[in-house]
Amino acid sequence: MFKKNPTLKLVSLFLILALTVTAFAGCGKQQLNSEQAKAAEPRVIVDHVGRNVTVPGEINKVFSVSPVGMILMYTLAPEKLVAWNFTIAPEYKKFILPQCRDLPDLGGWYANKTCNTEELLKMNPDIIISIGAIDQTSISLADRIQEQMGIPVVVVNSELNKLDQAYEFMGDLLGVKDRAGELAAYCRETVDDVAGKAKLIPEEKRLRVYYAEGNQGLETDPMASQHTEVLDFVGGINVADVPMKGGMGMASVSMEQVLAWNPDVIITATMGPMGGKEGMVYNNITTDPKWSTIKAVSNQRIYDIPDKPFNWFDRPPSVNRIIGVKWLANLLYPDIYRYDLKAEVKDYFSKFYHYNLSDQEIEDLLVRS
Amino acid sequence: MLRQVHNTGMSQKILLLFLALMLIFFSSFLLGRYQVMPDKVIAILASKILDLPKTWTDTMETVVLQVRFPRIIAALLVGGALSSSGAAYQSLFKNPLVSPAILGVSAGAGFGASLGMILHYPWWAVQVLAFLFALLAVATSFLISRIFGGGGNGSMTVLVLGGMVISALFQALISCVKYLADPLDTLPAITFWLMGGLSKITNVDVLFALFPIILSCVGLYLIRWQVNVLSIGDEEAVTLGINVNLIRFVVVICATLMTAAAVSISGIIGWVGLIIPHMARMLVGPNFALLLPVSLIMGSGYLLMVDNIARNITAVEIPLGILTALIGAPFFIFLLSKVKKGWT
Repeated sequence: MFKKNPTLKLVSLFLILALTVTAFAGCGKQQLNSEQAKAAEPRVIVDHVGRNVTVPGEINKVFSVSPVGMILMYTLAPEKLVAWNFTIAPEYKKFILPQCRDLPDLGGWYANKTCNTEELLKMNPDIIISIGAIDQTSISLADRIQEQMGIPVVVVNSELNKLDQAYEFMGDLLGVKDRAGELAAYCRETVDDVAGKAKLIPEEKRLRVYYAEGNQGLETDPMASQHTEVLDFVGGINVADVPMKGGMGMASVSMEQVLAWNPDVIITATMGPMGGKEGMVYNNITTDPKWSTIKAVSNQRIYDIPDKPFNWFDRPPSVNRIIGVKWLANLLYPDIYRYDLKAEVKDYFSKFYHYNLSDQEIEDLLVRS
Repeated sequence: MLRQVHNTGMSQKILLLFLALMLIFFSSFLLGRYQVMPDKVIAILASKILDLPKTWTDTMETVVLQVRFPRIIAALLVGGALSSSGAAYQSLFKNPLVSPAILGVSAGAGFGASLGMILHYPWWAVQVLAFLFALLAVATSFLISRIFGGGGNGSMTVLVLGGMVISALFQALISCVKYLADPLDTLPAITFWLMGGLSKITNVDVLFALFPIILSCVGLYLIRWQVNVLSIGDEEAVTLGINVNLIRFVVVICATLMTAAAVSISGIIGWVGLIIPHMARMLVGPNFALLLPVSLIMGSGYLLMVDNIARNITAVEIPLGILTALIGAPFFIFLLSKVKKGWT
């Protein structure tokens, strides 16, 4: 048959050649892997939900399932982060380390996103981290991803007052203990300081705050939601005292309800580093006559939440909130907290975001805040 | 003689329904999460006509005139528009399963609004996009029936099929936009819009929707007799000298205009356009000349009541589309068990 068909012969030869080359390439890779393995044996760790996970001894490439872990990774060990979970808008990129700016966006396992699994496998991360609020869904999701991808998935708790533990755990895991210790200490000091001072605020002086989200500022997140943890933490009262929790959050409220709440302070959500229009909600509220009789608006106590490079208050609820705690605490109760906010912001940015802010940049960040 | 008695009964029914609507209308002004005493509400409303001393706060005035007023009017308009266009379509297609969304108007509006939101356009532009895409969707369905329908009854079937295809297409586009949307803020906004609601309504929105809806209502009322004849049969209509294609075209245009205007300010609210015409038909029979005004009145009243529930029960709003479906679906089954009058 071969004799009769030279084309087929050629194709077969080519195929054999291709197979051989691939086989050799495979061998090479295997050898490399085994060399790495010699340097550090795999170890079994226990993650924050008690799962036993076998991880490589040396972890150099990490992917996060959602932006919460992504930001924590970026602050702790940006060189080990292999991809973003969303595309960072151009005007926010200047605050990001140059070597990280053009990392690909691979989506993730959160909200409406799906992960480009093959693309991720191509990057071959050593581990995947799932950091955030922990529930049964996130645990079983971690198991599924591990099963599907064959890459160890580590679950870490990141509630506001447990961020120091999250850092220490990650520092241990990634072999960056010193840096993790530094960041953990900062988180712990901030949280302890604010928690201590929050107790000093007399009940009658506590301010009633409305968190305005959505296009028109008529969406909000109620008390006890993970999205308003910062507000509860610094001693503000969330006017939306509706018991409701979980998921993406956001509940619609009517204008009339906001008028009835008549908050002392309004904080507005900017539409974030993902392509929203800056100050949209803030401008809507300050120019719409319907809002003008609300105490917060007539006393000009309405503030836009700073959102560079990541939102300071919420969405995603990660370590980006640590500076938000100081910002909001100082904003609501300057007599009690007495932070030199500009110095704090500068310090936080250099510590966490590897970025030295100029004075002008600080002014810009806090322009409506 | 008999006919006379029949008609008097009908006008009494319509009068009673209208009075009930007026009652719901005025009492809606007294309801709300912000407490304004009834005497203050009346004074604020009257102050627009009479010269009264101001005994209320600015906030009260905002609540009554800027918040409640547009919302109540919008509920009337949207409810009326959805149910009268539903009634028109049910007569036109001679089919009780038809709702205003049949030709793709809701899916088109949904896509337009989602597109506006993902591009972060200001709210008025989102509404305009919703309106335009609603019209575009129906125009496309209609074009499909014109090109591939051939004419006669065949073209009606193709029109419905075209509507299904266009709906499916725009639904897919909505999913596409939702998939691309930022999950942290745009996605919830789109989801809320698709569930329907009047919490963001302003007086400007009401003005925007007012003219298309009133114009279309008048249009439908002017051709009420022709629609009646059409619902008996095409041949009968032709025998009576009616331009069947023209009347169909006018019905589709009017129903589309009013639904598009309603949906673009309220988001997608299902079930109203399906069950209200049924209730109206149980009450007054299939005569379109009666069915249209009765559907209009009942639809307005129904949506106003549902919206009162949506804005009063809890501090956070319940999306209207959820409520209309939760109330509408069981009620529809109840109606089916009671049905006595014919469909056409």
